[in-house]
Amino acid sequence: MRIHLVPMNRIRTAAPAEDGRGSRPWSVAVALMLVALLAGGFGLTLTQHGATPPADGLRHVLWPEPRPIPRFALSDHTGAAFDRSRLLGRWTFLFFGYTSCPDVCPTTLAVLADIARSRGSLDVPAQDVFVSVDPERDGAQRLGAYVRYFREDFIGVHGFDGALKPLLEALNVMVVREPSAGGAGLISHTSAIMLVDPQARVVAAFSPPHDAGVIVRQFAEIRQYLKENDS
Amino acid sequence: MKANAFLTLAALAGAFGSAWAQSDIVVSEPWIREAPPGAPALAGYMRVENRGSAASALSGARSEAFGMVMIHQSVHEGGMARMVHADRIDLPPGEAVSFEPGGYHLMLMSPMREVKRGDRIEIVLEFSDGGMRPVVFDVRPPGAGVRRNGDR
Repeated sequence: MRIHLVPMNRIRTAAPAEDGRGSRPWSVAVALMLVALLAGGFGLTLTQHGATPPADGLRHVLWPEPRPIPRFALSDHTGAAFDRSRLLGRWTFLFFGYTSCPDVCPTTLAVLADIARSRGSLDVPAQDVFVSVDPERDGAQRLGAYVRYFREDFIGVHGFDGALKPLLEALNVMVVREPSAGGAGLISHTSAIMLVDPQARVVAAFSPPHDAGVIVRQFAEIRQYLKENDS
Repeated sequence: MKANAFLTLAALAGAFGSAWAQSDIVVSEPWIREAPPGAPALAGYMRVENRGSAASALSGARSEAFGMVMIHQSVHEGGMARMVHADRIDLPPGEAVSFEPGGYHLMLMSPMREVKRGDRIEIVLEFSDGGMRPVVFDVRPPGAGVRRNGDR
């Protein structure tokens, strides 16, 4: 039974970053050499006044252009409303999953907790939001216990299918309920971590395998890139 | 008591060189990710290596600590994570298979009690030739498998 499915050709988050790097080893090598040369020549000015095209690794991560998220109405695990206004004024790391998910979701939430710890030293307001794609099983209490286990300030969000739809569509998130494997109630879902900017626009998607160190670095590169290139 | 009796039995069986002795199969780094209270399913990870000269295959697993254990693989395809059930994992001579976060894992369903970091839990691996291998898994915090700049 499918609760929501976006056509495959609309998926912007499909290509894992590694594929891109693997298929163009020479361009990566050349880019690295150029970076090394430029860094040698201009020192730190490179990071402060970078070139317009995004860094090679970022091209697989950035959306073609920031996409505004429309209005939606969900609830967080405390029962408070979670709508578009909760995305304004801070960066949001968004991940879609469900609490009965044994491997991918806890793996990703552990990565997000690691990223949040690293972010602690930055003066950048940010939040982490886990959106349940399994509202029938993930009630507020269960969702709250689940997200807070990974980090006290994580926010669990849920809403029934109709309410979830605008957010799923805006972010090209797919959700497919799988035929029961031993009654496990497994759900296939988009596995990328989405990055939403303080204007409630989705700007990037990090595909697995997720590396906390790489994402922390790319988060800084994305902020710098948008600062220089966003009109 | 039960576990002791089981280990004694396994040792005896090993001494007689029966199908219990999977000595060519080396299991390293077995661990289970601690899960939030009430989580209905956990995941177990390990590396299984066939150092023998004959082909083998992992065909299943069971544990008294869980209602059911299944071999699963998380597959990332078309931007989605999907879980695929594996009936068996082939272990050709000289090859190793890693069970790790986001890939192969033992899906541990319906824990009989809360599974906490520091616990040691026995899971019996079953092989295609009828051989069995009890392996003790360490329970670790969720951050144990996180990649940081290429390292776990």
